[in-house]
Amino acid sequence: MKQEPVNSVDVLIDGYQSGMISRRRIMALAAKMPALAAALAAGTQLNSAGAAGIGSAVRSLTRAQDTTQGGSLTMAYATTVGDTLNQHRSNYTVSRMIARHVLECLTWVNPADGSVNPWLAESWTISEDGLVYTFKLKQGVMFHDGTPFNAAAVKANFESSMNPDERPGFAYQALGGSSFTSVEAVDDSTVTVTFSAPHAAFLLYLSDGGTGIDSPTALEADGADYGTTALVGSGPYIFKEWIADDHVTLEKNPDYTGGPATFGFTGPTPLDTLIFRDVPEATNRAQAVVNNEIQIARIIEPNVPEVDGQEGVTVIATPKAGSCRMYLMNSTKAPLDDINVRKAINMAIDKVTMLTLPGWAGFGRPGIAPLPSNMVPNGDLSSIAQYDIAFDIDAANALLDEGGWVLNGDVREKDGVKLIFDMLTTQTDVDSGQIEPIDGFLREAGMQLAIKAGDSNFWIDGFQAGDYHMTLMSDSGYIGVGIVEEFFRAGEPFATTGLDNAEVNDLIDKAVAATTLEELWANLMPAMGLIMQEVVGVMAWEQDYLDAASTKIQGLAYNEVGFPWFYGTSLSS
Amino acid sequence: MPSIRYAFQRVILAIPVLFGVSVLTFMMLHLVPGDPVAAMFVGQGGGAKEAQMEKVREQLGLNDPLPVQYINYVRNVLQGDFGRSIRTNEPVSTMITRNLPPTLQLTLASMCLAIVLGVTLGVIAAVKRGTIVDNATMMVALAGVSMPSFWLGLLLISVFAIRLDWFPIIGGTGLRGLVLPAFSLGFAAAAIIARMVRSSLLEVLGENYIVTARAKGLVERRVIVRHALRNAAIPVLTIVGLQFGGLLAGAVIVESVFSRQGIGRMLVSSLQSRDFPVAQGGVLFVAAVYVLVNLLVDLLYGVVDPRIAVEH
Repeated sequence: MKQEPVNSVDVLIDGYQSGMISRRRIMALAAKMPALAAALAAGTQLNSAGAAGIGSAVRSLTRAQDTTQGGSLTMAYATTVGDTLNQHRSNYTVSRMIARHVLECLTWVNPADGSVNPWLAESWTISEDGLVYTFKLKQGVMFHDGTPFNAAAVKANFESSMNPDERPGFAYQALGGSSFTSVEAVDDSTVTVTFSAPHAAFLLYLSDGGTGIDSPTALEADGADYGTTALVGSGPYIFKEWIADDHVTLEKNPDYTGGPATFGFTGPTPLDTLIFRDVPEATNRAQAVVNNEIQIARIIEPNVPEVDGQEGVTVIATPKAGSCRMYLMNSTKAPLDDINVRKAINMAIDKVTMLTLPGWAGFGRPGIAPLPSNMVPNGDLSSIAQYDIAFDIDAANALLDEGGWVLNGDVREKDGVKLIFDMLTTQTDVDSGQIEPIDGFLREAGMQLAIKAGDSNFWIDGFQAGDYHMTLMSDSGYIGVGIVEEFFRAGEPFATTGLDNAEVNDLIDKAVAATTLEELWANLMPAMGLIMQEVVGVMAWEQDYLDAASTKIQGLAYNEVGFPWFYGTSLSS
Repeated sequence: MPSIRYAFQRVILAIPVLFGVSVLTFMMLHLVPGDPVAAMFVGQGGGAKEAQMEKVREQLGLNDPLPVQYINYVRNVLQGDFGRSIRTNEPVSTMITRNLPPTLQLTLASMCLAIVLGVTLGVIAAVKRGTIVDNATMMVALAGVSMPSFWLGLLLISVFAIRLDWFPIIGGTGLRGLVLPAFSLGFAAAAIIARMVRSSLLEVLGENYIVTARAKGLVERRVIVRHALRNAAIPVLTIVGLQFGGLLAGAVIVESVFSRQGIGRMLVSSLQSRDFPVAQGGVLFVAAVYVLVNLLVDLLYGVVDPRIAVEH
């Protein structure tokens, strides 16, 4: 019987998705197999099992009620609490992720499917105009200080976040910003929130640690010191101490009975103690896991070879919630005011090969749009994938030839202007190996980078002032519309690419004002398509968060933002 | 008493020194690029609006003219209020109080190691002058002054923590967690002390009273320790005092490399995030400590050599 020839690309992708082939290996193969590279560039869905790569065993989502009890788990980040644990004032992502071990939230977003599920809010209704949300709250919940959770507590929290006399945190934007009108406690178990304009992402934001519910008693009692010396919630862990720039210590709440109903684990968390440590040096973080000083650490791509293959350690890759990592371009600054030059830059960068280089270590996926596939409904970017500019070095050279950019030595020039672009960046990004390779790609087409690196303040200053040709930028967060607005809506403080397209602005505004998520995406997707057509950046790669983790960790879950949530986690002996 | 008057005079003289430090620090912090408010919001998924950021700048007084900001700061400091961290809202004085003990622990441990190692090496080199032992100890000293403390720290981590697993990689508590950081920080100081002890001791060993002491039949150890070393101590004390300031400064780097809590890491974080109140308070504190240490060293001269106390 004649057998159909095996499609090697399909075999490879199947192997990757089943975890048999690591991410690094698949990317290295793609560099040599154009068909595989094309499949990856077209956004072939690599599901979450495959995305775990060599760490899938540790990422088991099975929760047994009789898991191993006790133990202390330490996780290291470069910085844990960048500002404060008071989520009404905090603007720091990791701070919110840590706080969500102490605080509970009104809703819980299931990262597996993006669905919004009940947590402290058992149910809710939304008015037809999308302006009024009515929540029915869970009964019998107590904060760690004995204060009962009720509608008054929710009201106190939201009003604290929106207090005009206090520093606004992430929560301010999460609760609608200037469109937030009021929050009322209708009765003990019912609270209404009213907006002046629709806030379609509101329920998604309510799952974030930044909108977690604190004890109103503690909020009032500790005043300005709340979030420094105290953090009181109703969650599975109780706050013990925070030493700024050193560590946060949490202890098990033995009376905890909560947890989102659909999470699959209830009752007290198994671990006795959870510690988050500040370890600025990435190599130290990675090696500390290898040496069993700590159990899990957020690492960066160059650290992967140090931990890969070490006994008792695995690398977990989780798609980052946020924007793609983009090399944004300032289209107002010559020679990038020429769209053909910007297109040539895109054509010169081989994203598939790029991901095989040490700065990427085989992790991530080639980018297409400002938002990665894990941030859009069903991971489907097909409606705008056509606007992605494929790698084609010959086409890049031809385009520049047509535009009159003549090679003079190593670099093209025209009318005395050379195709040398100021790349504004941080020394950290240079050291991570994600800047200089781009110069290598561009040189194949007679273009070059002049790298201007400094600390993060130097970079932010230059970025805000638009003092760059190119810069590597991204943002984290689960709410895509805010991120697209942040970088591409003309007039926003961090929209410095010079893009000012009336249709883009209109579509983004409509997405922001949408009453439903369907309406939001109906506007945001075409907005992204138009942004891609304006070519104000290279949507370089969809980033993964990388964690080096001990294989002793059981029941490790990740939240929708791509950070571990240690409820139900245990340590095997 | 002359010593008390001398000490009082030195304390009075410290005031303009500290004032100058505060002015210089303030100017440098505000002149370097960096908007601490933008740093709070960018890349944190907040989608911050300009109005929000402007409100925060207003609340923090960052829109006031620089002279007004400085005068407000000085007025508060004179009332004992060093302000609150822009980042964490924690009182600066609380942050300094909390971070001081670990830095003191590291600095004192480094100083002890530097003195013990440095004096030992210096004495050996001086006594064995011209021999291979002398050359070897001075080579070690040369290595010590040549190696940056952060590089030495990373090397020690790589060998003794990662490969041999003898010590913790990240800021362990207790003596075991102190060894590598103290060695990284103290080795350079030990090298400088060793060289100073050697040259100072060689000078003293050539004096007539040493010849007399030997002629009286005293054992060599007594000659060195009781007669020579004490007289060689004055320049060494000066170096030790200066080195203490260097150790405090070096703690900034070493605490970051070893992820240790302390004033150094507090200062690094504050500078990275342009947290002006913390940076100013931290630098002022370190300057005050430096002035105090130098005063103590000056007073110790009088103990070591009573003739100096009489002159004062």
